[in-house]
Amino acid sequence: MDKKRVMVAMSGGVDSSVAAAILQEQGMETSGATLKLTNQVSCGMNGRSRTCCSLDDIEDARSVALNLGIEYFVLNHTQDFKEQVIDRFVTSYQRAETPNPCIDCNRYIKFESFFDQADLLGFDYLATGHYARVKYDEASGRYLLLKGKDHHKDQSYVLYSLTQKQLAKTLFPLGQFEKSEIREMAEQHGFINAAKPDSQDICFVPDGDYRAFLESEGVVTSPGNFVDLEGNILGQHRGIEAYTIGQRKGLGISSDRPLFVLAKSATDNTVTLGREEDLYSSGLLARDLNWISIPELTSPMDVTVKIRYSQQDVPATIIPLGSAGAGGAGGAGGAGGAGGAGGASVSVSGSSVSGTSESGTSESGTSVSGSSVSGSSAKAAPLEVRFATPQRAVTPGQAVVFYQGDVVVGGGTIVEAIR
Amino acid sequence: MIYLDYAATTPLLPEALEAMQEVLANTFGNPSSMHQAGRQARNVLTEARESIAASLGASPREIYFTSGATEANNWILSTAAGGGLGVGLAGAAAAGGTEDVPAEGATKTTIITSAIEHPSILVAAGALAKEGVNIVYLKPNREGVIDPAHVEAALTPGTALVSIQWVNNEIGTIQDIAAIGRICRAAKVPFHTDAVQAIAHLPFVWRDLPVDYLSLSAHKFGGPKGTGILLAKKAPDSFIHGGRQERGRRAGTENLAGIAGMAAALAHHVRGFAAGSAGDAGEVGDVGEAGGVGGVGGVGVVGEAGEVPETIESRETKLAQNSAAFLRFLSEQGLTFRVHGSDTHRLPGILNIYFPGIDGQTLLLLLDQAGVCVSLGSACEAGSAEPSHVLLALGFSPEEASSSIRFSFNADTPLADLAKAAHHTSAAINKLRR
Repeated sequence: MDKKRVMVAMSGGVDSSVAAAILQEQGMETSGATLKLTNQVSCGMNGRSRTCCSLDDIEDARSVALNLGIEYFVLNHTQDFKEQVIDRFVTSYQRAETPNPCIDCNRYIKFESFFDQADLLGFDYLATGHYARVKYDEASGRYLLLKGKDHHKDQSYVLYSLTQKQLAKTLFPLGQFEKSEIREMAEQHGFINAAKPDSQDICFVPDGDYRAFLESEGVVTSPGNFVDLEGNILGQHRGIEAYTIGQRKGLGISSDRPLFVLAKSATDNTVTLGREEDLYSSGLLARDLNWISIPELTSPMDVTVKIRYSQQDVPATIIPLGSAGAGGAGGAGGAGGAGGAGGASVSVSGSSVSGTSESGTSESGTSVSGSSVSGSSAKAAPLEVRFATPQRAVTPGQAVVFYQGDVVVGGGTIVEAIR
Repeated sequence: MIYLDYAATTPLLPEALEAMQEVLANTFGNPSSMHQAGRQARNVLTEARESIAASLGASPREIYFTSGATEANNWILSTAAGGGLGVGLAGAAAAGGTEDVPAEGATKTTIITSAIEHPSILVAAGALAKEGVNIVYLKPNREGVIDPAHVEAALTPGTALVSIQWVNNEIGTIQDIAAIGRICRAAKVPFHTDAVQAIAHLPFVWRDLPVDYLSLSAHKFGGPKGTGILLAKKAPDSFIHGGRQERGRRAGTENLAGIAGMAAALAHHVRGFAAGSAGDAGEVGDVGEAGGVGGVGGVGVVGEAGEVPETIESRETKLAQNSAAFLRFLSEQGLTFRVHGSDTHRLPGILNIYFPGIDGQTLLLLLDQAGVCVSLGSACEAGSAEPSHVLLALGFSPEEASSSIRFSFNADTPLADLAKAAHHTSAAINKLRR
């Protein structure tokens, strides 16, 4: 019997190391690779501090591979990472959004360029150390993405963009385990990284100072006005990139009541502040949709949703808007494909909300950005999500992922909140 | 396995292995010790130094053992900038008008090098630039050739050092070291060359070469890794401080076995050189007046009677035949490709080939799976492949650079292996094109 060949994406952390070990023990012909994603470890050029793909991590992964007796490669993906992740990250901030680069990395790097490379090299599967599960559903004939068994560690949120073709050739060996079991296995194997802490920050911004990073990427942040919901000027901000929806600290505005960041607008360079209760939204609009358990959404569906990584999913209804054909992973329609700094103005079009009769409850006029860019806005936001109870700090640029139980229905990128 | 990456490293020559085994097994003493064990080790060191001097046509006193060419390159750059060549920054500032400082009194704050040097020059120069040293990077033409006239034009009274690689490790381009050296001589500017890829391919006699400093690495010519030499016509400043090894300029107990292995490997090649140029295998010591090749007798190189010795010329001819054959095999596979670098000024053993539209990294991995070892630009410290800075400096786009693969040959690579390698290359490219 031919052994199945699997390529494991190894970060040098505990999880992907154990993933490789599990596959090896299952009798698969296992190889490992670490992707070099930034030039921070390139030949002595610009030595930033350590990152998730630093030299130390590469050496850890190499040590684990040696321990397991598997082939190990370091593959250079700096060019695609720059184009597909860092550039999108920068553009997204310029559009007054808060991006999630890990999702883009999974979508465009791990499960696209690396996936294709492994495929060319004759690997039957690509595996990662994510806490998620893949299951083939006979009834629907579709590959399903499920939450990891350890719901605290579940990472299905960052994997919602996987296509059927990718899921068919993807393995998540950790999906059946609790994190504590994984640490135990790492210790049993005597892996050099068994006690290593989980990575926290964005890998290319290891010190968490994403503002300094944006500046190093040539983003010029320009000060502008803090405004309230009525448009009154409250003070000066340091540049929209410096603020996140829901932020309270560091605003430098004195007020008799605590003020929170409610919205950011790239068009008029304002940051809208308000009371905590104004942070709650009844729903949101989403674009760049990918469907997993269904071929596409044709009618409203009751689901639970996550609007950020570290959140319990909450009940909501998802409602397709406008032309139904807008779905699909490749359909990075409108804003998504806008690339480049010039895309800034495309963003956050408030206009689409009012166009959809269903969403009459939303006070779209007062909302977010209030961008006047209209045009193909229905296509840019082909989906509405309506929460069962209002949700705090809906953040444009973050992913919204839909679940039915443990099964991922699909997901997309948040365009704007509906108040 | 078909190994086509001889520019990265070469297998150990049998006589180098033998020399090293001899030292490792029988000579454990510290060459700096006074007692007999130490003296025995010291003798091995002296013998190796004299053998190498003879092989290169140098004086034993001009040889400084290092951990390799990278160290030698760092040594020469950092001491040049620090005034260690008698003419650098500190020298000019402190001496203020002594013999090496030009009449104009200009301080020597500039190092001239090229944009296609090995990282051990470029990164070292980059570090010096941060300390205020002015680095001039000469641009090669699209074939990778540095025009000696550009060196001349770049020289100023403030030039502390010129450092130009003899043969480029990625594309094999040969620079006109003699012409550049003469220009530097005339201007009284020290000239250094990184000769890592030239050794064993381009014959030279050190004392006749208009070069002041030269770096080499043993593992590129059949010697062991971790050993190299800085050749110096004028003593450079101390680089590693400590004991009195290497005339007090490079402290640290010597890598005795490595040095013995390097001496044996060098003798192997020079035997061929001497035999080739003198037309007489017997006249091994002909290389220079030092004539100390007899000193290598201990490592069993000299003269198995009746054997026709390989010469540098015959080896280079074979290499040229090999690379021509490989290109022909590629053409016969119907592949579209282009060879980077110069047709006329290239070492025949290095072929850097551009395959349009092909991801070089994946091609390398597919060839690896087929048992063919090649490389893509320089390896990074992490072990991943980087798009070649050399090809970028030649004016090629990042896409072209990352679609290029380096094949480097050995004179002994069988034609059948080259045909197989061409076949695997074609198969891999067809797979990538699908």
